[in-house]
Amino acid sequence: MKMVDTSYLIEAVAVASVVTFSLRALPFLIKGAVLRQKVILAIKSSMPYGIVTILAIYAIVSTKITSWQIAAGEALAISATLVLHLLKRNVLLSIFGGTFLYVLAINVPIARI
Amino acid sequence: MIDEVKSPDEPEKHSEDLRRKTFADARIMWLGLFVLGVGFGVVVVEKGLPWWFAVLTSTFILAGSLEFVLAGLVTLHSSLVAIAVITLLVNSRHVFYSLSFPIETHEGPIAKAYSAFAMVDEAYALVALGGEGRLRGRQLLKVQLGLHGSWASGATVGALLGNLIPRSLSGFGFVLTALFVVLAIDAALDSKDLSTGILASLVAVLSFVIAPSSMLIVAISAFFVLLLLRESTTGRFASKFTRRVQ
Repeated sequence: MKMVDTSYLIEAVAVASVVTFSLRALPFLIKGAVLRQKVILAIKSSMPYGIVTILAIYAIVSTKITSWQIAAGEALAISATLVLHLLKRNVLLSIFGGTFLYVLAINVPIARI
Repeated sequence: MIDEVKSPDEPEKHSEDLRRKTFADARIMWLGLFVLGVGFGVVVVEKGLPWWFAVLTSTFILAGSLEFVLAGLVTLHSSLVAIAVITLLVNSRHVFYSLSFPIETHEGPIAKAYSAFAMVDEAYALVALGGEGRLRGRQLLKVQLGLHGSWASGATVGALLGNLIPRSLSGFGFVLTALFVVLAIDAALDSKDLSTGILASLVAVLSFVIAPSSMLIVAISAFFVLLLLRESTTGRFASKFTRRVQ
């Protein structure tokens, strides 16, 4: 495979880095003015709740499903995480319980159907 | 009973304990990001890119999903303008994060700038919720440094070791999925307002169906607009609710 030009790669990283940093940092400079808007203040507390919910669903649906075993493993592990957390509300237990099940389910050798 | 006499510093101590607990939870994310970073490093070298490309992107960009996209773009030799536009599209969701991210709790411009630079999804999810145990200041910076270090060291290890890394390891990336699920449940239980969570879930699923490749930004901006609409139609109730919560 032909090697990609070094200076091009560095420029590409620099461009993506500057754009990403600007998106993250610039809004803080105008945050004060935005927060004075009453309507923004009212929805401010609901934003994280909604965004975290969206990120959770994104994490679930963006898993690459290449076999029924991965699909079943993911469904099983997410259900386990949900149930464990609703019952015990222990973050470590919910996360590692779910992850342990997931790793087990996708790696256990099963004859392909 | 002694229990009934509250010392004046008790609320402060209580939230300090909660913050310590949040900090402990945050360290799970380091593990998750390290594993994902290893996966990213492997992808970079599999695409025929040099190993140091994984080190550069993970150190200086620090935006997981965009870095995967960028690795694809540079192998196609996309123009720098195209890279800038795609970065803008993929990462524009961070604009919304600034509303709730406690950057003002840092002292000095360097700490503030770094905290903004390292405002990844994981840090936002952890900090924006949390109620009384909300991380801030030095603890928040430590969490962000840990996230940055985990992602960058994972990417370096993955790029250097490449195919030597057992495939079965990738399953541990589920830690992050599980963590977001747990945080979403906590948010729903803490706010006692199920409708916001249901609205966000519907928007997320619809965005995935309509625009799977740009799901996050579509979902987050749609959610923002819907919240604005809901607030302007039922503002009276909503403001009463927020006042009670505060």
